[in-house]
Amino acid sequence: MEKEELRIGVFVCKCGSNIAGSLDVEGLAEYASTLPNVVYAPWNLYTCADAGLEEIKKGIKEHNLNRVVVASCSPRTHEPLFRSVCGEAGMNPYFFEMVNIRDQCSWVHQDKAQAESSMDKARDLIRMGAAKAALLEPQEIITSEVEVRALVIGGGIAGLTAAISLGNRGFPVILLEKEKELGGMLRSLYRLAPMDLDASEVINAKIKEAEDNPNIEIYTGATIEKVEGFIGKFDITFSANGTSKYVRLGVVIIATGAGNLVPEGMYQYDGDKVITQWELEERFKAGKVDANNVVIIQCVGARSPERRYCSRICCAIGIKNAILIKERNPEAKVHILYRDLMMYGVENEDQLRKAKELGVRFVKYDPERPPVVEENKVTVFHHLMGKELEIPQEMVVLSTPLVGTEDGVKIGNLFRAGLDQNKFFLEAHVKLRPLDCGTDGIFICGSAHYPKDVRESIMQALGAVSRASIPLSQGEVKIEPIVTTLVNKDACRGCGLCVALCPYNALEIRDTDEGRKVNIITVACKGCGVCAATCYRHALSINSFTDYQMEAQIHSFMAA
Amino acid sequence: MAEKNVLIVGGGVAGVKAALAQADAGNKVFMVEDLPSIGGERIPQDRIISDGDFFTAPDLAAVKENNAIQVIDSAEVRSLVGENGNFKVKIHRRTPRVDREKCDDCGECIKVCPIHMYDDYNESLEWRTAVDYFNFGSGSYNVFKEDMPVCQRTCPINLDIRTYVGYIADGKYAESLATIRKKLPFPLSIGRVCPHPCEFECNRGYKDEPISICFLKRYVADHEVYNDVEPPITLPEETYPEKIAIIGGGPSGLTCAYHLALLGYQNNITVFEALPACGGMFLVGIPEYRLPKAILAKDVEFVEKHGVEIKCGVRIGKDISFDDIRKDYDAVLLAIGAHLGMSMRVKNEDAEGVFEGVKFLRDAALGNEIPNKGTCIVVGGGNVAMDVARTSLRVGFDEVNLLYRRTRKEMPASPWEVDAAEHEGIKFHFLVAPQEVVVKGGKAVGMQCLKMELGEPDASGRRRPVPIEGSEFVMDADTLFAAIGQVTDTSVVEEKHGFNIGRKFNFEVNPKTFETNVPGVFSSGDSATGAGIAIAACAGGKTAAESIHKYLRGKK
Amino acid sequence: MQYTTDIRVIRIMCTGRMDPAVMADAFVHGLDGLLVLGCLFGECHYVSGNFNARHKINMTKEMLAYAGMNPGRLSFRNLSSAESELFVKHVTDFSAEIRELGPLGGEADRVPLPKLREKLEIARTALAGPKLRWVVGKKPVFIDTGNKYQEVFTEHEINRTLGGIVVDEMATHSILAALQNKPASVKELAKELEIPAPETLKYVLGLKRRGFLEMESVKDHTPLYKYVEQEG
Repeated sequence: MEKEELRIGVFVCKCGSNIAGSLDVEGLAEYASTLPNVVYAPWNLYTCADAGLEEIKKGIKEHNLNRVVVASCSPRTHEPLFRSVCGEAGMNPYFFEMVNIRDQCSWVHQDKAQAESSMDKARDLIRMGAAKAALLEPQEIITSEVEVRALVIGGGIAGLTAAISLGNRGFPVILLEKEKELGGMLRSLYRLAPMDLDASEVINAKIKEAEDNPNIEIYTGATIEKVEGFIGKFDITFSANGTSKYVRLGVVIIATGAGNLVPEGMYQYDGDKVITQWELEERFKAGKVDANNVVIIQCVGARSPERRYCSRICCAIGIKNAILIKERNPEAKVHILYRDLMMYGVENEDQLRKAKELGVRFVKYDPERPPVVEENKVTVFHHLMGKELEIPQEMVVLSTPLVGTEDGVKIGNLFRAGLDQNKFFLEAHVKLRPLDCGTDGIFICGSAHYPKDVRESIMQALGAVSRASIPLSQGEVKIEPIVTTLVNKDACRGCGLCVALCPYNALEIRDTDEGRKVNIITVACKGCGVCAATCYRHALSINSFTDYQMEAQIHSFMAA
Repeated sequence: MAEKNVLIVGGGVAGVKAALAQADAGNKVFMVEDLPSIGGERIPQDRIISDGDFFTAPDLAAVKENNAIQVIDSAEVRSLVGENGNFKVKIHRRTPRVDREKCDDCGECIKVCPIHMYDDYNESLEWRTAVDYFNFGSGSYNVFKEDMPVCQRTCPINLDIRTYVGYIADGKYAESLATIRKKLPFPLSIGRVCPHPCEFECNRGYKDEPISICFLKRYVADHEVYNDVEPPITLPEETYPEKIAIIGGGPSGLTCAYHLALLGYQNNITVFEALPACGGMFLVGIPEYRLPKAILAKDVEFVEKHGVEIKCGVRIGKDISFDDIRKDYDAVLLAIGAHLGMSMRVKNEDAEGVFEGVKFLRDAALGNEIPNKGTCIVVGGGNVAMDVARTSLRVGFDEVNLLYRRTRKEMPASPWEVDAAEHEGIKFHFLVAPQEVVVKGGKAVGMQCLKMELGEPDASGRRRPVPIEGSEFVMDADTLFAAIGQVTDTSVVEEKHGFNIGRKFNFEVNPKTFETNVPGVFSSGDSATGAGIAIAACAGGKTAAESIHKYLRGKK
Repeated sequence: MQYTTDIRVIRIMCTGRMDPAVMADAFVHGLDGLLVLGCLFGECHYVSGNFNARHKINMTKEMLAYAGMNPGRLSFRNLSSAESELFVKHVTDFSAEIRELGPLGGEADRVPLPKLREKLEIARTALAGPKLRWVVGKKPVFIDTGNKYQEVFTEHEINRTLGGIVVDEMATHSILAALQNKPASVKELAKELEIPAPETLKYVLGLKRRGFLEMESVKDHTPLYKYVEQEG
C-alpha cells in the first residue's frame, strides 16, 4: 500500500464554558495547528452539536483530512458519535482519535494557580493524541451470523416466562430443567404475596403455556455437559434422561434460580417446632398450621459475616405468612422479630399495614443481641423499647435467605459467566447492562441473579428476552473492531501461551500450511490485550491500541 | 516363536553397530538406552574442530531411518527372565518430557527455559538450561528434572514440604494443609512432636537456620483449628467391598486406615484399640505437655470421619480372638506398637518400686495410679527417658536423677528435650551404668551404679562405655524407672498363627510391602520396625495401606 | 473534585494490555513516573486482566530496579470506576511520591544518567525478549492449574525463579549489547560490565552454545567473541 501523506485535523471544543471556562481554547487550537502533520485546527463552541459535526465533515472534505482528532470530552459518551460522523464524511471511522481535555483538564484544574500548568497539560494531551492519530490504521466493523435459536436454562418462573416470551416472538427455544418436573421453587410455595394468588395455579398455567407452545422444546432431567463457541454460535452438548444431545444456538438465558439456606445450628432449628418459611409453606399446603403462638425471626443467616447481602424477599414472605395465620386464626399471637423491614412498593406497604391492623406484633432486635429460642418461649431484647421480652411460642419460623447454588457455579464456569462471592450471577454493568452477562450473548434473569420475588423474576425475564431478541432478530452481530489481530503471522510459533491467558476463549491454535498458528475468534474477543502484552514473538496486537501507538504517545509527551 | 526380537542394552557406539548388524540380519531390534539419546558419550559437536563432522553420525542416521530398530531411551532394564530364545524383559522408561513426534527442533525452548544450572557434562564450566540438547548429533532434547528436595527426601513419609511451606508463604493455608493431608492425616500432632529430620538436611541451614518445617506445619494446622474451619473430607466415589481390620489405633494404624479410606475402602475399615482411647503412643507415650489430648482428638476425629470405625477397649487375644478377626476380615494390619519396656538386665529388677518407663507414661496419660513421692531415678538417654523424667517431675517427685551410660553428646534424645529437662531441674548423671537395684524389705531403695569412661566406637558408631574398676557407688531413690527402649508385645498372636518374630521382638515383614509371612496379614509401625519416630510409623501405615490395596485388588 | 496537573492520561482497554517492554520504553525516554490504574482485584472488567497485569508489572519493577532505577517510579494501583475520590488520592499521592524522588537518574536512583538510560535500554530489550515473557505468561497458569504434568507451583517459587532470570537476562543482554558494538574477550566484557569473570565466561559459553555469539578471532591466545545476527 502506498503511503499517503498524513493530513490531521484537530477540532478543539469549547463545550460552552465547560472547557473554555478555564482553558484558552483558541490558544489550544492555534497550538494544535503547529503540530507535525496537522493541517487544520479550528475550535468549535460545541463540537457535538449539529454545527460542530458539520464542521468536521466540511473540514474532512475541504482540507482532505485523513486523520481526525477531537479534543473535547469523554470517549465513553461521544466517541461513537464522532466516529460515525467521520464515516459519513467518507473517512474510515477508525482514523479518529479523541482527547479528553474536559474531564481531565478544565473540570479538574479550575484553580487559578493551576491555569498555566493546566494549559500545558491540555497541549500535551492534544499533542499525544495527534501523535497516536498519525499511527492509526483503518478498521472494518466485524459482523458474524447468529444462529436463530435460544437456550433457556432453568424451568422455574423466570425461565418459563423467558421461554414463552421468546417462543411467542417466533424464535425456536430449548428449555432445560435439571429436575424431573418444570416449575422450580413455586411448586413448593402456597400463596404468593402481595396479591394473594395460589402459587400452583400461577405456575401450572405457565407450564401449560410453555408445553403448548410449538416453538419450545422442553427437556427435563437435563444437565449441560459441554459449551463451546460464542455469541451467535454456541455449541452446546447436554444430556437429558440418559441421552446426549448437541445443539447450536445463538443466545443463552440463564435462569437457574437459587437455593434455600437450611439454618442448621441456628435458633434451635429442628424442622419440627422450629422451621423455615419454606417448611411453613409446605405445612400450609398440607393444612397443618394450628399453632396459637407463632414467632417469626427475620434475617436468619443473612446480613451476617458469612452472607453479607439482604435477601430482600423474606420480609414480604414473613409478613404474608403472618397474615395467613392471623386470617385463619384471629386468636393466634404472631410476633415478627426483625432487624429492618424491606417492604418496598405500594402493595407491600399495604401488606405491612394490613398485618399491623390484624394485630401482628413487630419487635426490632439488635444483631449483637439476637433472640434466644428456648423450649416454649423466645427471649428477645426489644431494641426500641430497650428491654428484654419473653414471648411464648408453639412454633418458631425462621426467615432464611435465598442462596446461590453449586449448579449455578457449574453453569457459570461452563459459560465463563462471572459470579459474585455469594454465587449469584454478575451483570455486565449494574446500571448500564443489568440483564447481560460479561460474556456477550448470555443474559440472566430470576433469582440466579439475586433473590427476587415472582413479580420481579417475570419482569427481569421479559427484559432479558428483549435483550436476547436483538441478535436473534437481526440475524447477525456487529462487533467493534478493537480486537486482537495477528499482525505478524510469520512470527507466531503456535506456542499457545496466549491461549491459556485469554479470559474469553477467543484464541485457539490451528494447524495451517505454515505450521501451527494462533487463530483469533474475533467475535469472542473483547480487546483486553493480555495476549498482546504476553506474546514473546510480538506477533499479536490490539487494533487502535498497538505498542507503537502507546509508545508514540509517551515519546510525544517526552518530546515537549 | 515366529518373531525374532533382539534386545540391545546400551546405545553407545558398540550398541549402535550391533543394532544395525542385527537389523540387517532381519531381526526386530529394541535398543534400550539409559540416556535420553543414543550415541553414548561421544564428543559433542562444539568440541569438534569442523562442524558436522561426527565419527558416529552416519550410524546414528542409519538407526533413525531403520524401521526395524526401535529405540527406547531414558530407560533401563529392570528384570530379565527366561532362557536363550525366550527371554522376557521388563523395561522401565522414565517419563519423557519432550514429545519427539512433535518436536521440530526449533530450539525455542532453550531460549525461554527459566531454569539455569551448572552443566555437569562440562564439569560446571558452563551453564545450561533445564531443557537442552542432549547431543547435537542426533538433535535429541533432554529435560533435566530436579531431584526431590532434600527435606522431602529425608521425610519418612515423603511430605511435599517445598509445596506446603510455599503455600504458607503465599498465605494459602487451606491448600497447604491439603498438601500435607495428601499423605499425613496428623498435621496437628506431628507438627508438635516430630523430631523433624528434614530440618537437619535443609539447605537453608548452610546460610543461617533451617526453615522451621515442623512448626510451620503446626502453624497451618492450628490456624484451621483456631478459625473453626471444618477440615474438608473427600472420599473417592469408587468403593470396594472388602473388609479390613486394623489392630492398634496408633499413628501407624490410623494412617493406614486413612489411606485405605482414600483408596476406596471407607466404611469397611475397623480399628481395634486396646486402650480406652485412640492415639497409641501419641496418647500414652507422649505426655500432655508436648501433645495435648484435645489436639490429638481432633486428628483422630479427622481420620474417623473418613468412614473409619474405631472400637476402643478391645484387646486382641482377650476381648476378641485373632482367629475371629482373620475369619471376618479380608485383610489385617497389626500395628500394635511397642509398649513393653526393655529390661535393664540388672539384679533385683523385679523388686517393688521398679517400673517400666513406658508403663509409667501410659498410666500417667490414662489417669491411673502412679508413684509420685520422694526421689526417683530414670535410666536411659532417649526421648522416652526425657518424657519419663519430665513427667515424673510434674507428677510430684521431689528430685529426679537421670542415669546415662555415655555422655550428653551420645544421647539419642532430641537436644531441645535434653535442654528443657535440664532447665526444669532434672539432675543428669552421665557415664554412669546401673549395676544392681538395692532392696530393703522387698522394696527398692536405690541403685548401685558403676562409673564409666568412653572407649572405642561400637557397631552403632557411638563410643562404647567401659566400666572403671572399683568405682561403684549407691544412689538412693524411692522409685526407679527403666527407659532404655521398648519392644512389641507379640503375645497377642499365638504360636499357632506362625508369625516370624524378628530380632527386636517385632513382626518380620517384607520391608517394601510390610506384609508378614502370614498371607493377608500386614504389620507396620513400631511393631514391624522396632521403636522409632512417629512420622516413620505413619509412613509405614501409608505403605501398608497401599500394599493391602494391591493385595486385595490382586486377588480379584 | 480537583487534583494535580502533573499527570497525563493514556487510555488502554485493560491493564492486562500493559506490555512490560512498553513500560520500560517509557523510562528509557525519560519518564519520571508511570502509574497504572486498573480495576479492583476480583472485579476486573476483563475477568482476569488485572491479575495478569500485576504479575507483569511486578516483574517489570524488579527488572528496572535491578537496572538501577528506583522501583517507586512504577506503580500499580486499583480502584473501581465509581471511586473518583480514590482516583484523586492515587494520582495526588503518586505525584507527591515522584516529586520526592525527583527527576529520573537523580539521587533517588541507584545508577545516574546517562548510564541509567543504557541500562534501562538493556532492560527493555530483556523485557521484550522471550524468556521473561514466557515465565511471566506461564505464571498464572502454573499457580492455578499447574504445568503439563499437573505440578502446581507456589507463587513464591515462581517469584524466586523470576528473580534469578532477571539477573541472568540483564547479564546476557548486557553482553549481547556490548558485543554488538565491537567484538571483545571475556576479560574485557567482565571488566566493562562489572560481572565477575567466571560468570561472564559461563554466560558467554551459554550464548555461544545457543548460537548468539561466535568466536571472531584469537588475539594473544585470548578468543574474541562477536555477536551473530538473529533471524526472525
